[in-house]
Amino acid sequence: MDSLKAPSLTSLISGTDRGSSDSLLGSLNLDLDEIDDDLSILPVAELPSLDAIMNEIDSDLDIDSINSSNILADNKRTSYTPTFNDEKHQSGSILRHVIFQGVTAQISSASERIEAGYASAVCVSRMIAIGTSHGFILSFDGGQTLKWCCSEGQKKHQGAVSALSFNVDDTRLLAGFSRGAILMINTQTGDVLRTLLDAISPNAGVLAIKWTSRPTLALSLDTGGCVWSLSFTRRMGVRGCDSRCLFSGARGEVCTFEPLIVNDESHPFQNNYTLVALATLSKFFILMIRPRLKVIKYHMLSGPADSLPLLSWQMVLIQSADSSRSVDPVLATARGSSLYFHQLTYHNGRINVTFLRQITLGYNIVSLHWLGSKNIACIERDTETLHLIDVRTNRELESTDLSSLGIIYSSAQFKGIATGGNVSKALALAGTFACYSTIVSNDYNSTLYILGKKSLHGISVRSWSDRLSYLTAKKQWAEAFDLAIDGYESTVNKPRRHIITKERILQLFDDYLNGTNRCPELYLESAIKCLIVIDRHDLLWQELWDRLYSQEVYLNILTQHILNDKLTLISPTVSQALLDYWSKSSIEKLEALILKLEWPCLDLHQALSLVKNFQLYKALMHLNTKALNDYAMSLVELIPLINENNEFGDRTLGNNILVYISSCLAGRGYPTGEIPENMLSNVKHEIMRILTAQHSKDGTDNELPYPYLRELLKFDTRETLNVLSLAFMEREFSTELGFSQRQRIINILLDIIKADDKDDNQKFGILCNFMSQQITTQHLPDSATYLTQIINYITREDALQITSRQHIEKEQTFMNLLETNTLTSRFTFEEMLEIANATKCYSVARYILEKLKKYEKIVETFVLSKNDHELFRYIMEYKNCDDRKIFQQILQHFQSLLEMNCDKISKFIIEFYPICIPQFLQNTIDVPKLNYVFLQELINNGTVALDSNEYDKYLNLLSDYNPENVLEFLQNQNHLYDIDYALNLCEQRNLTSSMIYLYEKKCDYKTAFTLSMECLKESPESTAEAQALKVCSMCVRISNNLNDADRETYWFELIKAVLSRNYLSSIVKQVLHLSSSYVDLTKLVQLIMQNDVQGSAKSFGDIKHILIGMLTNFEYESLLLKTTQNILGRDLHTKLVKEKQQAEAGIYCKFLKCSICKRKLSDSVTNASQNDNNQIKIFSICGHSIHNSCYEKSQDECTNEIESEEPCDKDLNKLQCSECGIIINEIDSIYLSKTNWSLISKNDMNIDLMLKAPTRLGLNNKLLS
Amino acid sequence: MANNQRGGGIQRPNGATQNKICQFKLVLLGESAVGKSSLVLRFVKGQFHEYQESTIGAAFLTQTVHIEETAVKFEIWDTAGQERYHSLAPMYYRGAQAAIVVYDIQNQDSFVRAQTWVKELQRQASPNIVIALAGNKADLAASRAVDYEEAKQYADENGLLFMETSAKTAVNVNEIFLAIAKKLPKNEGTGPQQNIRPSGNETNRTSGNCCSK
Repeated sequence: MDSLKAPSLTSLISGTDRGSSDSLLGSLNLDLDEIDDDLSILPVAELPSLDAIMNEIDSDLDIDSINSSNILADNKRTSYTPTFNDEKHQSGSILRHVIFQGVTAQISSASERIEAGYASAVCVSRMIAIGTSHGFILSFDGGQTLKWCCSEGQKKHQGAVSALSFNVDDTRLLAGFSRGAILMINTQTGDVLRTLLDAISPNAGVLAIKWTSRPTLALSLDTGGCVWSLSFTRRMGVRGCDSRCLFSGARGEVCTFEPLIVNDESHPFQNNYTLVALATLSKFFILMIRPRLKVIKYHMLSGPADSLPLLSWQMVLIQSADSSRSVDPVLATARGSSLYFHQLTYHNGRINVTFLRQITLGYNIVSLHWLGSKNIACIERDTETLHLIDVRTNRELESTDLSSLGIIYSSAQFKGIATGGNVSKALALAGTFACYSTIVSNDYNSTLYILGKKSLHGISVRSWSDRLSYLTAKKQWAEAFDLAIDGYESTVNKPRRHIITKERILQLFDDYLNGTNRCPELYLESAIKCLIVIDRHDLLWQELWDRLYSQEVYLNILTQHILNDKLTLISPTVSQALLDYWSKSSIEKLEALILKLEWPCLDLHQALSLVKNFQLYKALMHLNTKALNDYAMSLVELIPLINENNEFGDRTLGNNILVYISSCLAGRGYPTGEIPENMLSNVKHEIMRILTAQHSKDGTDNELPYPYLRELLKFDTRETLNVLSLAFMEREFSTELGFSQRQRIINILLDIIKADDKDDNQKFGILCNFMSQQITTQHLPDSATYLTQIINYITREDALQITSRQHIEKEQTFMNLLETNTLTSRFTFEEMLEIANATKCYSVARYILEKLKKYEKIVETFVLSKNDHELFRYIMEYKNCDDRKIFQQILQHFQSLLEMNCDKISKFIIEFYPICIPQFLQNTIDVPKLNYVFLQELINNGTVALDSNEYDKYLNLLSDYNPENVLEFLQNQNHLYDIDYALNLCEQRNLTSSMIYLYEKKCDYKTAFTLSMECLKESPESTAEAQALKVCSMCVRISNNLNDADRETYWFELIKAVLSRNYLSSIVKQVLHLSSSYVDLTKLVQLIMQNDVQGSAKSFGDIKHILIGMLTNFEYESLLLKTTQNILGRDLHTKLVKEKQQAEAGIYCKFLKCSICKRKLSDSVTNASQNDNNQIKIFSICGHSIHNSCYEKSQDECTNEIESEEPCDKDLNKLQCSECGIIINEIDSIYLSKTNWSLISKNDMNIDLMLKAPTRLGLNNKLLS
Repeated sequence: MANNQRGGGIQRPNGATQNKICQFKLVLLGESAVGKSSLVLRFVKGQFHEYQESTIGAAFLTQTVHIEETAVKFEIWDTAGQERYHSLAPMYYRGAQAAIVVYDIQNQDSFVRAQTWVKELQRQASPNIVIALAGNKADLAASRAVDYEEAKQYADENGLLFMETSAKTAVNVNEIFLAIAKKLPKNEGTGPQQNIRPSGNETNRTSGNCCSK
């Protein structure tokens, strides 16, 4: 075999045997989709599956060892994910990875035999072309058969093939080389039609070459970043090519471009326009080449420096917000980790670019290709992982690791190695991971082709059906069924596809049945769920059921679906098994199932015996009604049992029967649904017949009449009557017949429940309430019999204690009758009022009072019923109505109101009747407690001004009821009470602490002190310390108001007291410390010493710390004094130094002329006297100077101008400069005697400083005043 | 109307006549001791008893609230919360137009139980029943065990009206009934009591109960 291969290749190269199919390779006629099928060129004995090949790549396992069981084992390792919908990408079934074995083998072969080098570029349309690093081009047809091999590039020494491109109809192939040559090859024969050696910039290689939508126009990109348009011509049979630079790389090198190819004939872009997207390292353009060259749009595209821009076009169905749909080209651009989508629209001859969205990925990508119109494939740079992203949801569907493929990067081309490396550094850096011509996509089958070093891989997205097949093959049934359900549900709105989908799922189910023969329980849950979803329940009971070894799992799953209302009708065989199964394990489930399932699928005999056996009354009633259509039987059978069960505290049966009766009478099915229309009246009639039956079916002679109703009433009177009152709301009871029926039932009820029976007393109340409801809603005539009964009930002053609930109901009954004026015929309102008051039905009484307009009693009813909430509502509402006499009533019931809610009523009175407060106080005077409470509210409120004797009264009450709060009151309200009175009171009540406070307040310090000392002496050990401190603080307070003698006496007495108690030693120091500021220290020490002597054995040690403390204090204070003196001295010194410095500072004088007389300062003022006026005044701030005499003169003039009587308001200490008007203090000006100053000559000064400073007056320090 | 000062606008005996009267059946559900009866008594009678005895069976009360022109008459079924009465609940809620599910904010279990009630109502009661969730005893918020947010979120997810109420302080009691009244459809039939007066009714009084037709 090997011997055959070689000649065929060489023969191809030599060009003698083009397209031959006689070679072994040629015999490989593989469909692209069936690469892993039978024929394989690999010389292996066993034919490996795709998975086997994958495994081979992954782990280098020996091919022979890979068998199917191994694969299955692999599958089991992948964990089953029940939440499939959320983590779709986990299933791993979307991406399909195939290796083109034929092509791969040929590449290896070419590399080995003809030294073609490794593969460097690929192009796929309906054919496959592979370029190699040594300039060979291999072409394959769709079946991977090698068609021809072109070595033209190698012959011309053009280096590696860097780019390849098929034209639209696959008749021409363009190949670009890394040394700049471009070849056009006839794809059928492999003949070179054109050789373009100078179509691009000289000394540059080709980076990319692409056909545009126009058949004669191609674009090429060189390593200089320039884009060239190549338009091919054929003038008089001579093939030529015009190349034109479209875009110079000088302004930013183009890294990649992507012409827009539209295959849809009707699309406007198809014929009239030639569009191309270009991307440089900083931006991308959408360029129109035909009909005229124009940039449609450009946009910045930034990203990391070492990443290349990526472009990819795709026609996408776009649904815009206004629900219009259009198929438009969408350009995906990416750089680094950012992905942008732009839509190109054509509208009225204008091309618009709309930004759609941006996606930011968590990684940098090197390749970006659409796979179909919904998904986009990105290859992550660092890990070479392919991520499939759903464009609509931004969600990553699946990812697969490609690092084992050995992706080829075109970095050599981007670095321009073949042309001497004359490329920009930026491009060279970015081009490290360029794979524009090694990872390409194909529009025809949405496949991504990846060129490995010596292999070609295809990655495509599986369709739903393919994924199912894939999962089936891998026996991942759970995933398969979940996917199936997903697909089924997504096609709900497309009926035709829905049917196809369903068929496909059925096929899957068949596969499942066949595939899980040996282990039928496996994945049963998914399979059942799927069948239920696609509504093919019948399949559940067929083969699936028959082949089960154990039914448990199956039944459990089924139960789940039934309880969730997904399934109501099952096969009788299964239902039998189901009931049987649950009757053994869970009675609750059994009942639930019987209630949920439709009865025709049940084995009635089995079901009925089960429910009777297990006493499933609900199910029994359900079956009786549904299956047997007998609504009475349940009652006849079950009512007699009610009270037997109830005795054990089990109300279930009784409750269920009541609900059943209620449902039936309301026309509802039990427990759910409705009773069929045609049976409705029959059912109701039947039920009523049973309830009112005189005798039970097989009752004995001594049976009481109406046994069924009696039983029900015995079980629960209230609920039974509730059932009736609910039933009476139905329409049937509003007919004439219905009314008589009502009456009949009530008569029966009255017959059963005897008014005077003690046991029935409560029941009778309920019945009366029920009757009154019926009467008030006019569903019962207010005939005398009923009314008498009810009135009896109402007017009966209950000897028995009734609960509040019963009372409320009684009141309600009364009220109902009143409101409907039923009672007016029998009683006058006054009588009724009496009854209401007697029976404590106060709301009724209130109602009557309102009616009678006897408002003056209304508050009383509230008070009696203790309903403060409503009372205050009432008061607030009518407080301004005079005829309601609110005020009088409040006054009248004030005490009760205070008892009810003193807070609220007090607030009310303070707000609305502030002036009547004394009246209210008077009202409470005889009940001290209430008086106290009211006063407290008033005082706490703080806004009410009370008579001062009220405070005294309050104090009195407070000391009675709450003596511990007296002191607090005294302290807080100190101006409001009479001190003497308070003192007197406190004395009476013996409230010492309050007394001390009051004495201190009265400035009777002696008594206060004596009292507190007494207190201290009496106080037990536990409180002594606090008491002592209290006295101490009082001493501190009063010390300032005492004469020295008293002060000393008090303090010493206190100290003595403290010292005399051992347990107070802890506060001795504190007391001494406080006292030290008020008493003579020597005496204090003396006292301590004395006390010590008196206290005998106590050593010096006890007061040692006091003395030490005093010494330390002394030391500290002397240090303090010293430091202070130091600080003061230093301050003084600093001040002096400052003063001195200021005094010695030079003064500088800007002008040598007097600013008033304008004569030189040195000139004496002629007309002035020669003595003291012969001085010069200099203003130190502005630098002006004047003769003192001139100044005085001007001052005099100034004063003369102002009227002389007026005192000169000019401050004598202020001087004003006549030149600039500035006012300064006299201290800041300087006088100097003219004779004493000398002018420093200008020259003298300038010699040293060379400064052009104004002339200075040098002043001799000594001469200064 | 002068007597409708409080938000609830409870009809006083001397209330003015209304243009339109709608009757609705309302049922109160919830665990025992959460304050269903207190809530109703506060709403109907304005009363509150600190120690309300537990309800036996279901109690029936009525109260009318006014929304703009319409008088909404609630026929309230106050059910017993005790476990042994639970199986009676379908009798009241099947056919009710509104339900208040009450829980005690101090008791997490009662909230869980309230959720079960809501679930049962959604499954078994009439599909357009208006359900309100009331977290009662809001005056005792200091010892709260159910977060307001938690309950609010649950209510929103299930499309329930939600308020924290206090029968003791009357907070939100009238408001929750009023909110229900607003949500109930008032244009169509007036609930189950769409009764036709018997023609042969001797007194032939037709005043109070007028249906909207």
